[in-house]
Parts: sequence; structure tokens; C-alpha cells
Amino acid sequence: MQSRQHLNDGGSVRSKLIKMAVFTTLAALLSASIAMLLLDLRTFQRYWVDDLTTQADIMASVTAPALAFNDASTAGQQLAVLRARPQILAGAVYANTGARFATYTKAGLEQSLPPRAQPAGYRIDNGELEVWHNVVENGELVGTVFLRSRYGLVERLLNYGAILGGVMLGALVIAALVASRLQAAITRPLEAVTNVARQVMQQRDFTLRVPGNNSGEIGVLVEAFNDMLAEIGRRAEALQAANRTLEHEMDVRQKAEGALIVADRRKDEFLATLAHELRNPLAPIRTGLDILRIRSGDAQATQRATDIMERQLRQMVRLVDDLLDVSRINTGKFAIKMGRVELKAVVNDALEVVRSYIELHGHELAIDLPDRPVFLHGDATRLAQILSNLLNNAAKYTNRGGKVTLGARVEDKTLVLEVSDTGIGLAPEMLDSVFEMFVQVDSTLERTNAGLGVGLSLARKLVELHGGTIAASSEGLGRGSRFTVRLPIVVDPEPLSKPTPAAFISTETYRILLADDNVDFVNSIGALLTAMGHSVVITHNGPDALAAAARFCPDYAFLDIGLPQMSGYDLARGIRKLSCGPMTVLIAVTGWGQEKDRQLAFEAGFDHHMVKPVRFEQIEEILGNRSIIKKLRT
Amino acid sequence: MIRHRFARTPQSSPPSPRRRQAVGRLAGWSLAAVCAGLGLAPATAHAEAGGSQALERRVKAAFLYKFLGYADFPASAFADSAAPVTIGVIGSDEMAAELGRVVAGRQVRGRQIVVRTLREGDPAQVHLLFIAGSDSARAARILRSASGALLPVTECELGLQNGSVINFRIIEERVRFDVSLDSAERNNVKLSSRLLTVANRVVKGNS
Repeated sequence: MQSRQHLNDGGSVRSKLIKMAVFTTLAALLSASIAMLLLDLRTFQRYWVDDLTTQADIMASVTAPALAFNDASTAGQQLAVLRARPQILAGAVYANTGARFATYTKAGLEQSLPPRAQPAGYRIDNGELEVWHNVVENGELVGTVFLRSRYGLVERLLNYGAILGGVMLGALVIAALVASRLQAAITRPLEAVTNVARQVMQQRDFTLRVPGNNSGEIGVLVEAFNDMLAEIGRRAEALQAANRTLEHEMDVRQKAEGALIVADRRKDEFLATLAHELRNPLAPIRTGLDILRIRSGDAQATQRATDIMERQLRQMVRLVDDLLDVSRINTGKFAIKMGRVELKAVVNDALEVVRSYIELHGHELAIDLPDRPVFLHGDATRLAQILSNLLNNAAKYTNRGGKVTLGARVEDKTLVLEVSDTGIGLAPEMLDSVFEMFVQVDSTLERTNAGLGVGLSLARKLVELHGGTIAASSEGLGRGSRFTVRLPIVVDPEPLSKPTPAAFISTETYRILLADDNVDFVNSIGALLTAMGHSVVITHNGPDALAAAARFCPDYAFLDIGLPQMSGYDLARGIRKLSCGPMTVLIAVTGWGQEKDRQLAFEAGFDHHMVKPVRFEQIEEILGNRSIIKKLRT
Repeated sequence: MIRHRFARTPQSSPPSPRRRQAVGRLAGWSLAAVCAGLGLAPATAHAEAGGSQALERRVKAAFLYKFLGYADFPASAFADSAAPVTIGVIGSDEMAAELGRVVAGRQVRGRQIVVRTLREGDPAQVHLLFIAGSDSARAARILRSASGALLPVTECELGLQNGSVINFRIIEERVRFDVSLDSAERNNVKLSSRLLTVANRVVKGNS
């Protein structure tokens, strides 16, 4: 179909060109032939008339004596010479009286001769030419010669026409052949252009080009067509690329929009949960305060109240700490202090945090650890945080009286920690998303079971920071859940030094300067430190602190940044300028935990940066590192 | 072919009424063409149709005149360019008279024609000499005496043998003539070959 159409298209131009050549040739040949024919017929007639007249003249001359001397038989013999001219059909000689004198007719022909002489001249009639010629002898008319000849005009016309027709036919055939050869120069490139155009239309392939190297207008046409194709191809490509980009952008935007909507909803939920979570510990703390106020004499009740309040407070601090950590991780400003860590220490730290919470829920806690020590490369605090978060989570999402299990085993060079529970479990589609920020298992759960959706997210990020992985698995809703953490193991058997900070803390005492305008906070910390045997000076503003430092020359100075009259930064710089200043370990205690604040603190000369609220353990840890610092400085 | 041929007897050929009439008047002598050729009115011929002799004489007179047209005389035969051609007639005054009528008003090659009647023994300084009579001896005698004649014409049996150039014969009731080229050459007269084509006999050599 296609090829036939193609042939037809190509053929129409070709046949037009050939037709043009043939018809032009035909017109030229026809007019030339007609002119030649007319000319020839005229020449033919004149020739025949002249020829016959000459013949008659000769006859007149020859027969003149016979006429003169009345010799009819001689005249007849002389006329008989006309035999030599077969086209002459008849002849006669007439005496000057007009009477017929002698005759000749071609053998085998019946001819009627005019009985009387007629005036000189010629006549063409019915395919015959007749000539009358006077015989003049010695100035006298002695008779008339008559000749009748075949006049082959029609015959001549037919012959000549046939020859011309044949020549014309031959010429037309030659013209057609020549034209069909010459037309290829025009039609072939046109055909190529047509083909390519059709292919482009069908295949949308703009890389196609018309081949060939033509000159002249055809060449220009082909070149322009190719350029046009290239241009169209470029534009189509650009358009498609633009479309793809737009589609992609649209996709991204839609996803981003969806993500924003989801994030917004989670944030709303998070805010509601946050308020709830922050509010939750406050009730027991208030109750504890009430107990302390009302029954301050009852030592047992006071102790119980203090326990409750401490537990609730710890829970709350934990919550806020997690939030801050997550925020730091998300903004990329979270740094972990890598070191050699032993698994059991980490587990103990974690249990210390969550044990009371687990017991509060009435869960049974089972722990299964390897016997030999396992050393990890990481931040002890953060590793403990991972475990405590997982345990806390298990306790929270398990109905009262459940079982929480912590297991650890070594597989090759990987430590596998598993925290499992008998709780509400996870739907399969939730297994991955539980680690996302602000995602809670089921927002329809009772609020008491609801969390912030921060703990698991933080746990995963911490695990990843340690080069490990975390995964959740569950056999279904209501059938408990299992969280598996895999961490790389450092196999170096014996560490060079194995300091046990606790030993130093208990044996060594320091001079400690505390500067904070939060009187309750600074006084309680001061009392604790004093109770541990350290020498403590407490101030509530900058100038007092600076004066105390100059006088007291402390080993440690815990300074609030937002001090009245003088900022913590200025105070730090002031202390550093004192004679004993360089030896003092300066710790910034601030409500601002941003990296920027941390940086400002270090620039001002601080050695550590603590974000409020400060747990006592943190202070103990810093005091435990004193020996190392001393070594460095001396 | 036969049908159209000029018939010997007028009755045998019926081409046209007029022709039949004329032939009938000539009483067997098919001389109408000759008479017409000489421009003689048929009426005149009819008036003198006393017998075949007269007709024969008229035909011969016409022939004599026509011979001049086919004969080429030497330039010395004429005194000057305007000199006439002379015809001498011996032995027939009728012929002389007839000939006089024939040549009246006619010219040959731009020359006048004069007819003279001669007697036997007259000096015959003429271009054409007609010796009438069928007596060959007489004709021979006259030819010998009239040696000045350039183109002698006789009508006797032995004309050519006696030195005549042209000798009339009657063959099949027609006036014909024989020609002797030797005699013509002797007399320094050139005869046209066209004349020879219609001659009854052309003699070359002394036959």
C-alpha cells in the first residue's frame, strides 16, 4: 500500500515530465511535418507539371516535322517513345485544325482521348494530370500535343505522411526515453524528500535525512528540507525535555505538597501529644509536692513522694532531651564522641533510666547478655540512649503486666541487640514508617499509650550514626513487636588504659564555682556537690562570679550564659585572664542548645557546653574527665 | 490504338462529323492537315478540286515551301543578309503559280521567298529548283544543266540517282519523299535531321 502510493506519487511527477517532453516534441514535429508536407506537395505538383510540360515540349519538337509533312505514322511512332515513362497514361498529337493526328496509350489501358485540341495549359483532375502544349514550327502553330499522366498526389501524400508519421513516432519514443532518463535528476530527489517526509510523519523520527548531493534548486530544496527536519527535531526534543522536566517538577511538587500536608498533620498531632506528654508528669509531681507540704513530717511518705517526683522529672527531661537531640540530628549539628565502650556498661546505663518506668507498668523484664565482654566503638551515652528508648517504647506499647525482653548476641563481627515485647504489635505496613518522625503506631490508641513519635526516630538516627542498622518486626497486631539493632564490634581485646572514672570521682575532690541566677537549681546542685565532698562556691551574677573565681581559683566553673549584669561569655573571658584562669575547666550551662551557641561558648573559652536542664550525672561525668584534662594541660 | 490512328480511308475513322466531312471532300487524299498547315482555306481547295492532280500539286507546293525550313544553305548562296530565297520551277507553270500562292507573305529565317518559273536551259541560279515531270531522263538532263541549283527537287523515278537531293514519291496514295544526303553534301546544303525523320527513304552513298 505504502509502496504503491509511493510509486504513484513519484510517477505523477515523472509522467508529467515525460508527457511534457513528448507533447512538446509532438507539437514541434507536427508543425514541422505539416509545413514540410505542404511544401513538398507544392513542389511535387510543380515538379510534375513542369516535368509533363517538358515532356510535351519534347514531344512537340519531335513531332513537329511529322505534323508538317503529314506523317501520322511517324508521329505515332514518335509518341510511342512515351513508353519509357510509365506514369504517362496517354498522349496525342492534334493538327492545327484541331483534328486528332496521332495517339498513344499506355499498354493495357483503356483511355478516352479528347477528340479535339484544346488551349495550352494543364489540368489536374481525378488523380490525373493533363497537359496541352502547342507545336510551333518556323514561327507557325502546326499542332497541339496532349499528354495525360498519373498524378500520384494522394499516393505521394500517403507515402510522405507515412514516413513522417514513422519518423515522428520514432522521435517521440526517443524523446520519451530521453525525458525518462533526464527526469530522474528531478524526480529522484523529490521522491527521496517525499519518502523521508512520509517516514518522519509515520515514525516521528526527526533524525532521518534525505540522502544525495544535488545541485541547483533541487539541492537547495533537499538541504532546506534536511535543515528543517533538524530544526523540528531539536524543537520537538526541547519540548519533550521541557515536558518531562515539568512533569517531574509537578511530581516533586505534588509529593512535596503531600509530604507537607502529612508533616503538618503529624506536627499537629505531635503538638497535641507533646502537650499531653509534658503535662502528664506534672500531675504526679504536683501530687508529690502536695504530699511534701502536707505530710512533711512523715519520712516514708516524703521518700515516696520524692521518688515519684524524681521519676516523673526524669521522664520529662528524657523527653525534652530526645526532642533536642532529634532537632540537632535533623539540622546536622549532632556530634557523637566516639570511643571504646563496653556493652554491659551501656546496658546498665540504659536500665538505670528505664527500669523504674518498666516497673511502673508492671512489666516483667528479662535480660540476656553474652558472658564475655563486648566492646563497641561509639558514644556510651548515645548507645545507652538507643537502648533506653527501645525499652521505654516496649514498655509503653505493652499492656500492663506484659513482658519486655532485652537480648544481645554476637554474630561474626556484629552485635545484635533485640528488644521484644508482648505488646500491641505492628501492622506490616507500619514496620518501616514507625521510625519516621512524629509517627505513632495508631492515633486511635488511648492517649496514655500515645507517644511523641520521637523515640524510635532518634534511636534509628543514633544507630545510623554508629554505622549500624535497626529494623522492626512483628507477627501482627496484638502479637508483640521486636526491634533488632545491629552494631559493628571492635575486637581489640585489651584496651591500653581502662580508667574507671567512678573510682576517681569518689576519691578526688575539687574546687567548684557555680554561677546561675536560678537560685533553686544552683543551690540544689551545690548541695549535692558539697555532699560529695567538693568545695563549692555559689554566685548569682557575673561580677560576683568573677570576683569569686579570682579569689577561689576553682578547678571547675559551671557558668550560666544568661547571667545578670554580665554575660557568661564575658565572664568566661574574664576568668581566662586571671592568673589561675587557664587551669580552670569552664562549663557553659545554657537553655540554648544550638550549634551556634555552642560555637560561641567555645570561642569565649569554655571547655564544655551543657544544655539545661542539667542532670547531675552529666556533672559527675565532666568531673570524672578531670584527670585526662590535667594530663593534657601539664 | 488502331481506332485512333489516322486512317488511310476517311470512312474507317469516325472521330468527328467535321473530320469526316473534310476527308470526304478530299476524295481519299488525306491532305486536310497539309492544307491546314499551309493556312489554305478548305474552301479554296474545294473550289479547285478538279482532280487528284491538283491536290497532289498543292501538297507538293506546300512541301517545297516547308523544305526551306529544314535546309541550311551556305552563306555564300546569298548576296547579302536581305537577299531573298529563290525557288525555281521547271516544267509546271501551275506549280509555280501554286507555289507563289503558298509563299505569299511568308518568310524563311527572315528572308523573303521568290518563286521563278524557268525553262529548260535557263541558267538556274536558284536555292531550290523543282523539276516537274516524271520523265527521269529529262530530269537528269535538266539536273546536269542546272548545276547551280543548291537544292534540286524532282518527282521522277530515278531522281536521286540523277543527282537530285529530294525526290517526291507517291506511296500508298500519299505524297512522300526520298532524300540523298550525298547530293546535299555535294551541294553544301545541310538538311535538318528532323526532316530526315519523316523522309520515306534517306539515301547515303551512291545507291
